[in-house]
Amino acid sequence: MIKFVIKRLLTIIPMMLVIIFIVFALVSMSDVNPGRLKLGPEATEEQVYELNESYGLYDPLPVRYGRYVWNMFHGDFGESYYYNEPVMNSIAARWPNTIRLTLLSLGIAMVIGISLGVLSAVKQYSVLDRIASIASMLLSAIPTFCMAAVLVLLFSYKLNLVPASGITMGAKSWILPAVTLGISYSAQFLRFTRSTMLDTTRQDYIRTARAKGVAERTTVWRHAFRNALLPLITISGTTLGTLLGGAVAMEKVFVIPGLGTLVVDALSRNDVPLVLGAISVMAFAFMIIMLVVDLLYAAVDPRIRAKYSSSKRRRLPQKGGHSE
Amino acid sequence: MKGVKRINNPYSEAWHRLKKNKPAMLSLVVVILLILMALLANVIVDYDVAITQNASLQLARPSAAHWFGCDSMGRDLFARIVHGSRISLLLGFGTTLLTTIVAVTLGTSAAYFGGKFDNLLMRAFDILISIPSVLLALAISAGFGNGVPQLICAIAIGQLASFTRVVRSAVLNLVDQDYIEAERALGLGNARIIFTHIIPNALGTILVQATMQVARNILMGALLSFLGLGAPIPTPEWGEIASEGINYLRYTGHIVIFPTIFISITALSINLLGDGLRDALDPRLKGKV
Repeated sequence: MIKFVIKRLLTIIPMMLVIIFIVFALVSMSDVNPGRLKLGPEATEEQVYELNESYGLYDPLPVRYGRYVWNMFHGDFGESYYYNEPVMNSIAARWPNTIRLTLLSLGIAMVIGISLGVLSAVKQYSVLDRIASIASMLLSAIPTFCMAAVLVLLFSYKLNLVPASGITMGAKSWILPAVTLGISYSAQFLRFTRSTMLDTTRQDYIRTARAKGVAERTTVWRHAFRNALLPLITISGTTLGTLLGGAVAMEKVFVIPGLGTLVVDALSRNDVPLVLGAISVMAFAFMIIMLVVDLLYAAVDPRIRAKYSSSKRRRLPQKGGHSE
Repeated sequence: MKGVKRINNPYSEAWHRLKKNKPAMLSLVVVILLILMALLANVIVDYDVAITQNASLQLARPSAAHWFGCDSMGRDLFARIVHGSRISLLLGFGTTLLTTIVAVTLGTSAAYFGGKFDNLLMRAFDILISIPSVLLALAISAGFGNGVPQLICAIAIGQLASFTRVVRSAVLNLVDQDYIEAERALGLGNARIIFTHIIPNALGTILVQATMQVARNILMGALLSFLGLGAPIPTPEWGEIASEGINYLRYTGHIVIFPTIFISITALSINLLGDGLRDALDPRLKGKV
């Protein structure tokens, strides 16, 4: 197990370097002239050139990338063009809101999606199953931000139950964003849970459990669900990636000061270092979560551990002699 | 081989099965109507109507003169939705076409030739897939500015890795089949085998995957336009219209509700059509995933 953890931890470093390089290279294509942006239209070309030079903007890409990564390891993400303060300050002020929103909605999505998914699978073709299928079909067709708008219209402006925007009202102001995002993404969990549960309940060991007289509830939860849990852990990792997109939209709809709104605002202000920093932090957070998911997977499934503790890594589909 | 007459074309069989699937056929009609709306947008309503501002009609509710009401600048919402369908559908279909071509090329060659190329490509895609697509789109927009071509690239790159994996695994199942082995024994060239035997056999999987992708891309396009990465103002686009409407929710909901209805109906019909196609092309998969 320890060997697996170390191996998995080590893979994250090169991956992260490559990801930051991709993001860095893309953002570097920008034709924003920070010197001109800062000094205004009155400044002479020389002054603009000097300021850009002092930022090191005329260095080759690999040099700039190397410097960026080096500084990043020291917690320095550069200075925002717009706020004139370290990017890290803006990020530090806002990331807790994004994390809170994401985790709350992931929790809601999992609870709703998984429980309804198990119920629909156990009672396949029942009324509940039909309703759940139709609901998940509809939910996956409505963009999250549109659903949020409709819910704001209903619950904030018509019924006056929860605030329409901002996070100044404490827990109350988190209800609508988290519930909207959670419900919207519960559809993915629902469909996935249902299909894996249907597969699992057709296995021989479930028939054995039923045959030897194990209570139905125990069969479903202890025998079937525990085995269906494995693919579910994987899907929750990938869902989080798409949920992040929804979270960015939610922050915009509900005017929550999070990393999503930070990037979107910085983008409209051509604040390149801030965009770069915030995207890198989010990509990093996402990688850490994927790492946790992988470790969780190994903790739950002894087969994965066994695979990693043996010296040779097995590749899944073996292709036989077709290469020339 | 030439003398044998094909009695059962699998695609005409699939079409027969699809015709019996009522939700899928209804969806097909809806999708065709939507595409016609996008193509004939100029015939339905003049583009000028969609961008002409009228201060006296700001936030006007739906009426006989303005079926869907007006937006915050007094522009006719019906005209904006009709013309917005062009970009929204382009983001869905155009992006999917682009992804499909690249994914089929990469996925097929990776699976067919295998070896180092396959290994390298899959490792590269492992990395690409671990960047959430919204972040990738934001980075692309930061580097190349906002606009429809950038948006198409951003969405296409974001979906490329998973699509290529699907194609690759479909082709991997085929290359080990005996008839492919037989072709090779007959001395047919790789190109011939790939184009006349591998791709036609994987077409079902590719078609289903591409259909589902269209819906996903339309939603992604709407999301990115909502975040302000889309076409420059005043070009209408469904996500952008809804985004603008959200600022005026306090006063009226119709600016958000109409684009929402159109986005959702489009995505829903395409999904139902995709489900229908999957069931028709491979009845064994029915009711799964």
